[in-house]
Parts: sequence; C-alpha cells; structure tokens
Amino acid sequence: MQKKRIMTLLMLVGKALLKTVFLVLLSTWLTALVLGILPQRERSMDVQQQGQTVEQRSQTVMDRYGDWLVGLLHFDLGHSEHYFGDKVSKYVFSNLLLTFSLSLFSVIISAAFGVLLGVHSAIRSSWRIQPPPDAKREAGFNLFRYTLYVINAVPTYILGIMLLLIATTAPMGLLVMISMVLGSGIMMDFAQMSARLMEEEFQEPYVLNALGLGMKAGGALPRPGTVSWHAFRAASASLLPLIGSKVPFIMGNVLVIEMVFELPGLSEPLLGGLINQDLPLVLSVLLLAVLVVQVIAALTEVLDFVINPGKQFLI
Amino acid sequence: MNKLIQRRRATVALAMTLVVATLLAAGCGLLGGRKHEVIVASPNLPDNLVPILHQNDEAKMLSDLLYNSLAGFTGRRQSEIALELADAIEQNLEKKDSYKIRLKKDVAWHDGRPFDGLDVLYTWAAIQNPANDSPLRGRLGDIITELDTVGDVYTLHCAFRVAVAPDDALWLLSFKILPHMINGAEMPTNLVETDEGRAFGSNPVGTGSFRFVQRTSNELEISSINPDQAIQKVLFRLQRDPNLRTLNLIKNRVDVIFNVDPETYEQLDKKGLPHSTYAPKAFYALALNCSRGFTANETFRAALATGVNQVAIAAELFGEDGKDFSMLNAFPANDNPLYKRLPPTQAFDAEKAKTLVIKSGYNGEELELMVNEGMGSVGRVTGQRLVDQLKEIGVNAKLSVIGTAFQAKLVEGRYDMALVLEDGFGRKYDHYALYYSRGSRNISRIRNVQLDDVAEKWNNSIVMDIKFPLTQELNTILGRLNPYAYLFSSPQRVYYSKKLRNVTIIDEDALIKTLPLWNKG
Repeated sequence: MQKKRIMTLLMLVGKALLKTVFLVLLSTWLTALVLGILPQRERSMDVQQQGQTVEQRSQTVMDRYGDWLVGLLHFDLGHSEHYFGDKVSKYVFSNLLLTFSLSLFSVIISAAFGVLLGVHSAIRSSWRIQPPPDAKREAGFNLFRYTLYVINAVPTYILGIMLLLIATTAPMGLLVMISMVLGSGIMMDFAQMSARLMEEEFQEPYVLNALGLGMKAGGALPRPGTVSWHAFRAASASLLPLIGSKVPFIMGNVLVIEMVFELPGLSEPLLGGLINQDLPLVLSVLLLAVLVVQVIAALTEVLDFVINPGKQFLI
Repeated sequence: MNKLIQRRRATVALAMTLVVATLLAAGCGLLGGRKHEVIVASPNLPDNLVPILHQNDEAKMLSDLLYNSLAGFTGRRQSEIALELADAIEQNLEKKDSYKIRLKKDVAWHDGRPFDGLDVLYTWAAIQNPANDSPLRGRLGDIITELDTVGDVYTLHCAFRVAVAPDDALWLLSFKILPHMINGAEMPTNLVETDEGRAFGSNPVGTGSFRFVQRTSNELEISSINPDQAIQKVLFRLQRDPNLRTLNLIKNRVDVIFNVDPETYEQLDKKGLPHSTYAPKAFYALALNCSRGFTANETFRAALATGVNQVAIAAELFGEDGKDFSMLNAFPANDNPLYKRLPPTQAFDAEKAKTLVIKSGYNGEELELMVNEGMGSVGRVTGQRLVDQLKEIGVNAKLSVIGTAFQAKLVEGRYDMALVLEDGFGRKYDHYALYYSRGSRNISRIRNVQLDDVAEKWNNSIVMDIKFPLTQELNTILGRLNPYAYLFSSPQRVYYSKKLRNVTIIDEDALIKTLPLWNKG
C-alpha cells in the first residue's frame, strides 16, 4: 500500500514535469510567433525592412527564439534587447520574488480573513452550535458582510487608484495587499467555501453525538476543545489545497496592481518587454510565470494527495 | 475567567495598536529622507548607457550627468557650449582646418583612473567602428579627417575636411568620451558584440558629476561624486501613465516630470508648482502620403500645404507665443537662427489652395486625417482645425484619432494624411532621413532624385557657409513636392517640486545638465 502511494506520488510529479515542459514550449513559441507578425516597433522605412515580408520578419523573430531556447538549455536567459548590456535574469528573478511574495501574502491574508468570516458565518447560522443571535447583532453582521461584498465587486485596479489618492504616505506594499485582499474577490470565495464546508461538517452525525455527550459547542469562532473546532479541522483538509490553487489566479491581479503602485514586480519587465519588443525579456517572464503556476499546481496536488489518502487521483 | 478574557482582549488590542503605529511611522518615514535626492519620473527608463550608441531621450539626459565631452552644452542657455575635458582649443590660423586641443590633467574616471588623450582616441575609434552603428559615425566621420595625440597624451591634433569656425569646432567635439580601459583591461572598440562592451553598458564609467549606481526594471539610480553637492542622488523612475506622473508630483512622490500634457498645466499651476519651458527639437507636421490616392498628386499636395494656416492653429494652442513657434518653412528656428531668413516653403493662401484643388482633379472623395491618441489635446485640437481648414478649401477630410494602430498604419503607408510629431533628431535637425528615398523615417514615401541629392549634401554639411545655400535649395524643392505641410514646434513645460531651487531647464541638448547646481547655497 505504501509502495503504491509512493508510485502514485512519483507519477503525479512526473506528470507535472511533462506538463510544465509542454506548456513552456507552447506558450513561448506562440508568443514569439505573434511578436513576429506584429509590425516593428521603430518607425522604420529602412530599405531592407521595406523589402521584408511578414513571413521574413517572422522568420527573423523565430531565429531569435531559437537562440533563446538554446541559451535556456545552458540556463542562460540571454541579454535584454532594449536595455543594452543587461542580462535578462537581472530583471526577472528579483522582480519575480516581489510578485510572488505579494501574491502569496495576499492569498494568505485573504484566506485568513475569508475563512474566519466563513466559519463565523456558518457557526451563526447553525442552530446546533449556538442559539440564533439577536436581530440587532444579526443586522450588524450582515451589514458588515454585504459591505465586504460590495468592496469586492470593485475592480482591484480602481481600488488601488482610490487608495493611492487617499493614503499618500502609506507604504506601497501595504496598499497593494489591501487592494488585493479587498478587491480580488478571493476573500469572499474563501468565506463562501469555508462556510459551505463547515455547514456540511455540522450535518455529520459526530457533531450531534459530541453535543449529546456534553462537549461545548464553541463561541463565535472555533476554540480548541469544542465541537466547532473539530468540525473546523475536518473542513480544513479540503480547504488547504483550494487556498494553494488561488495563488496563480491572484498573480494575474497582482501584475495589474503593480502598475498602479509602480512596484518593481514582473509587470514592468513584461509590459516593457512587449512595448519595446524585447523578445528575450518577454519569453523569460513567460517562462517564469508558467513555472511558478505549474509548481504551485503540482504542490497543491501533492498536498491534497498527502492530506486526503483516500482520494483517487487521475494520472 | 472574566479577568483572563479581559487580559486577552487587552493584549490583542495593544498588539494591533503597535502594528498600526509601526506602519504609520514607516509610511511617514518615506517623506523624511528625500532632502538630497531628486526623483525624475519619465515614461521610459534610459535604455542604453553608452552615449556613442543609439539612445532614447532619457538616456541622452542621463549621459549629460554621467559623462563629459571635450566641449559640451552647459544647459544654462540655449545652445551654449563650453570646454569640459579640454582645457584649451587653438585653431591653426594658417590653414583654419585643424586645431590643437589641450586636455585637462586633473580629471579622473569614476573608477579612479586618470583621464587622458588615449580615451579620446579610443572613443573616436569606437564611433568609427561600423559594428556599433553609431549615429555619430556618418556626420562626424565625413568632417573629422584626423584625431591623434601630439607630443604627450594630454595634447591632441584634430583636422577637419574643410575650414571650420571655432564655434562649429566646439559643436563637432561635443561627443561624450568613453574610457579606453576598464579594470586594467583595454576596451574593445566593438561595444555591441563583445562581452566587455555589454558589461560596460550594464555598468558604465564616466567622468561626469554623477556616477552610475544601479538599474532595475522600474528605476535607475546615480549618485554624486562630489560630497559637497546639494543633490546627492538622482533616481529616474519609470511611470508610464502621464496622469499618475502628474498625481505623484502633486503628492510629492516625485520631483521632476517631463512631457506634461498641456491640459494639466492649469491644475499644476494652481498647486503652485514651478515650471521651466524649453523648445525641443521636434515639430508637428501634416504628412501627406505621396504613394497612393489623391495625395500622390503633386498639385493636390500643393493645394493642401497652401490651404493650411499653421499660424492660426499655433495661436489657438499657444496664445501669443504661437507665432514664434509656427513653422513657415521646413526648418525650425530653434535649430539655427539663420533659418528664420528662409522664405515660406508654402505660404498660406486659401484662394490659391481652392484653385489648386480644382486643378488637381479632386473628386470630393473623403480623405482620412489620422491623429495619434497619444498626442493628447494638442493632437486633437490641431487635427480638428486642419479638417476645418481643408473643408474651407474644398477638401473633404475626416478626423480619426487612433491609438496603438497609428504607428503600424504610418509605417505601412495605409493612410491619406497623418498629423505627426517629428522628433528624435539628436543635436541637430537631421532632416535627411525624412526625405531621402531610402530614409529610415520617410513616412510620406516621397521619391525624388533631386531631393535625394540635395538632402544628402545638406546632411553632410556642417559649416553654415556651405549649409545655408543648400538649406535654401532644399526648402525650394520641398515647396514644390510638399511631402509635408509644416505646422509648428511645440514648447514643452517641465514641472518640478517646490523643494528645488536654481533650476534651469532651457536647452534640449542639456536638459538637466545644471542639476549639480540645483539647491546650491
């Protein structure tokens, strides 16, 4: 049985690797193809370029793509075609760190608040766990919840600009995370997910049994030694992999919000690379983005596999 | 139990208060440390830090602080040049085509190595190396025939192809000087294809008042070599959005912004933000597609050029100053004052224009006049006025404001008329590329052998005695062929923070050259 689990794990990892290689090649090749078809950035009427057809221009770009691939095999991302002399790695690795950190922290904070909100909401609505609250407190809580829904509906970019106008002196990183947490919508996703999972757990027979045996139901939030705490632990097993899967999603939002706050994340190398048609830079950013997403997806799957031993996985 | 709960709640409240206080303090701390620092917000970062290679405008600005020339623009007045690395330049009074240049002996590179004549010779060789495709190569290569040391490494001999006046000689020697050795090793003259060249581009070394520190994707930092200077650090910060640049200047997050949209002048003036005005080497013109449709007809193009009243448009845009910025001929006066003497390339005459429209056989077909969305209010207003003026002479034009597709349509010749901003001319207006059949910027697609011949001679002339008659001839030919209807130069405002004093931004060739003097005293 143990051997079978190890084999399954290895096959999961192998599948993830193959998928990553395929996606890297496909995405970078398509990008190079599109960049080759686009008109040149410079307003160039050079006679050599005048004579070039779209096919010839595309061929030149594909040659450069080939050079980049060869360099990649030697772990060399090449030199930037726009910023003379600078290696592409200078712009992408440190920038990736910032984008990834912002994404991760935003997800963690969104998850923390979202799960708290969802769990509290589930506890309030379950008559098994605690008596229904009074109308005033219920109204107050609902007002708070719906306000969050409204804020979540505002696009992250707009929220970011509003915060930038209001909070002149606050640290940019803090403003970014506030924008992401409130504006990206995943906090409410986590709230709804955790509420649903908790409500499902509260329907389990062990909850009634525990209450019948005299175990405390729990307060507004799960506390160790209470029924709601045990339900929360059981629900977490399904929640953790879901949290991990949101990181790639939020990275896309972070790329946009970075431009509002002008943070040195991956957005600028990507945007600057596209505007200046700096092929090695664009391809390298794409490569890293695909790698990050695939690694997180693989880790999430492995985590799910480890936490849920009974679950079947398709290889 | 109650006490326990109360204590817990008090602990949580205290912790949260500490966190908030820390964050606020950190936020406030952002303001405190910018006394000796200037942040320049620009839509692009300097792309190439090697001044003899192709550079964008921001890189040229930066080069003024990183490098020196034998003689360079001071930035204190329009087109004022003074000696920098040269101590003295003496003309040979007999032949007048050669000069002896004595170099300063107390100058050091940012890496500590002393500057000498070998650096000048190396720079000249690098400019001449075809692999570098230096924009200086053609023009300087045609006029400078010899540059070598005589006697010692601090004395140079420079010979020109023709007799050159001292002022022109200073201008010709205004190229930035590069070091011939880095880390004890000789630099190759091929900078673009060698590892040493690329390494230098990534970490340049100059003799200027600032040294390079680092470049990231969003910022470039340089620091002063003089500890007594008021401004110790300059950051070029990438901010693409013009509205964000304006907002950040108002919020004191940045200190200097260029390329300010005229629509925001009032807002910035109300905030009491000071500004400087300079005239960039750029002009607006109506490009006429000489390769297709009615605009391929020479008579029709003459009609369009004659029917455009650029003075009226400039007056509407710039008020009383508008007349000064109007271009009545193909040569803006801020290149050389002599050009003011040139007759109009095509004088405005609405009646004559109407006659020419009929003579050309125009059938009333609607022509598209495309304007780049990025030109902002100047583009929109100018475009609309042009449409109105063309309508008055009987030409049916439709205004199209186009975004990112504008450039593609221009390059591919898929347009009838286009409002363009011709810029990026470097130190002088090198019109050559606009008119030569195979010119890299010939968007009007004009093809004329006589124009090619005169434009080439004009481009290769430096000395005004030879250049001015060619300018007159070129002006006449352009008045006959009319690839453009010339409109106006556009004064640009640079807004800066109230904390800055003694700011002089007046010469496009040395916009922030005077930065070391800002806030002095």
